[in-house]
Amino acid sequence: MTREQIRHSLRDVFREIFDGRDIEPSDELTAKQVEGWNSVTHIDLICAIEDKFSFAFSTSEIARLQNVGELISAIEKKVKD
Amino acid sequence: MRLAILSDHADQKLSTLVKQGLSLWNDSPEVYRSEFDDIGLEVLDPSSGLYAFKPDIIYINLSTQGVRDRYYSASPESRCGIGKAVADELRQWATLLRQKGVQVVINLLPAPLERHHGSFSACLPGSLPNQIRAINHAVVHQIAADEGVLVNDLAHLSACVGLRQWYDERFWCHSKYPCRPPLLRDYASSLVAVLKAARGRGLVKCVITDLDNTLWHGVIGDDGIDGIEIGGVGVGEAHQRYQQYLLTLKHRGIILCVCSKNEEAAARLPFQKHSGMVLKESDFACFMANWRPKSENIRAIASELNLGLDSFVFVDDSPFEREEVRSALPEVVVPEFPEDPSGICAVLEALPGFEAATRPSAEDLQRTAMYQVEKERTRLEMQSSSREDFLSGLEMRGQFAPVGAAEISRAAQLIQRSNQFNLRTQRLGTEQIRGLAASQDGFACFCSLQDRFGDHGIIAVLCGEARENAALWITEWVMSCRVLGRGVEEFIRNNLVKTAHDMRCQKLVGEYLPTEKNTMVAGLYERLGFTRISDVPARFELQVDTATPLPNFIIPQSLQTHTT
Repeated sequence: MTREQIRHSLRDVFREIFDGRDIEPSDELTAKQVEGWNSVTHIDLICAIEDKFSFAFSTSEIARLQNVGELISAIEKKVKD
Repeated sequence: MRLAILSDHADQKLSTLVKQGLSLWNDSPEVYRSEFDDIGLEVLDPSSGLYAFKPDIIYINLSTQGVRDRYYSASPESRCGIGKAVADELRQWATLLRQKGVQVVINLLPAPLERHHGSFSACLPGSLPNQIRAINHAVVHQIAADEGVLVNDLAHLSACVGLRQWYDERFWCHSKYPCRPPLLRDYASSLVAVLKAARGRGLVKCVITDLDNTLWHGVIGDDGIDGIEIGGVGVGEAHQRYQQYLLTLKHRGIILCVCSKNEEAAARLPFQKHSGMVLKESDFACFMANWRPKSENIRAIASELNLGLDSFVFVDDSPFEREEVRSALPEVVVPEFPEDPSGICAVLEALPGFEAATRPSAEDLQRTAMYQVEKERTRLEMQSSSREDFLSGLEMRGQFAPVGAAEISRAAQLIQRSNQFNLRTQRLGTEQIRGLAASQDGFACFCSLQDRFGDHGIIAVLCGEARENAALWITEWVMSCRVLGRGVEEFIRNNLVKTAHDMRCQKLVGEYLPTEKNTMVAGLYERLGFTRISDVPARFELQVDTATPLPNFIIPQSLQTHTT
């Protein structure tokens, strides 16, 4: 799966988590820049991604992944494994 | 509803989900969430945010992981006392909150995954699983037993899900989530079902079942008595277990009815001739076997039993019949029938409407019989030449007396269950009723009724308190719709006048607070001779000295002669 394919799927996940808003998951985007990306929706987001791509993040990844570039890299690595 | 959630773990997501769930039936639920995870601090401090919020229900939301943390922090020799320490705290909080008239809901905790001694842990009193069990045991047998406390059974929910699915320790480590985050939806639904039941909403009162391929395997009209299967091994066992399930529902006061497309004689045959049948014809309050549309039959059942359609569950294996009922009567709960009939009990079990908030009462056990006797009364009514003729022919005897220990449970239950004949829908609980009954300035009375056909038991509850200007306020008046039109309202009104007189009050004040369901009593007070004194809220009063008794056909009886 390429980064762009992952990004494409992430658009749907973001829309689902952030009340239907269209948020472009660019590599530079961080949690702080997105209205409503808080500690609760962060968990929702992590669970929705795990569900979508069928893998599990590690505990440290859950805490660390606060920007989309790293998120995509982590997914890329997991899906490859 | 004003709900406060007090948790020992993260509950922001849960409270959002609970609020959403409550909004579906409660107009404006307010949910308070403690900012601290020290529940005791909030409960024991009268100046805490909790009390400023003025909750009417408090949910004490402990987690297995929270108890586990305490277990691990304790020295090995004191770990065997953790369960008792937690239970003692819970009891202290519950007692304190109950004294303040607040309803309390407590979790039953999921079993922990960590056992440390394998299966043998179950034999060691100090093991973590047994400390969790000790807490649940204390909640169920001691704290809940005082009836002011309800439980949200997460032990059951987590077992249904499977503990390995239930727990996801990553999210506990990261943000103190007590379970896999998507399961918080089920967690919240379970709580909302308990809260609804606590308010008497959404309760199933009647199950209407089909016969062919539902109550038994096969079609009686085609296969005959020897062709259908009930009991034995295989599919007959599944249908027999469904019958046992229904019979157990009947024992807790849920009415059973048959609605089948059949010739009546054929439909009744298995009840009379088949040895595998668990249910008898007498277990059903209505037996509808004909070729009319099922929605029509269900409407007839609703009017005969005087129950709202939204308290009905309809079980039928035929997708056509289910659709017909769903489209004609959208209020009726119509669960999907499972692919295999062995799954039907699990389908019913998953419906939230079988939740309860009170213990089954003597009335529950006799409810079906009461509806059957009702048919005898209807027959008398048909034969009577006039309304007065019918009412005097019933030979009614009534009691109006303070609620005592023997009546408290039924009184609370009637308050929970009554939606239509309910003037203010306050849903007073056991503690509040007990408080009013004991108070000098208040009263809590019940009305029971017998007639020549049998005993209706307790059919109305009234509560009130004396306020300024020598006015006795009627703060709660609920009545069973089964006794409408018998003059019970007039009988009660006369007794209220007497109560007011005895309490040295000069007037009675009553209110009608409208809900979606109680329009039938909008004009009650005026019908009983009260004068309207305000419109919002609709308030009425009656001068005690000038009130003449209203005629009715109920002979007052003292409590001693009341035998049930």
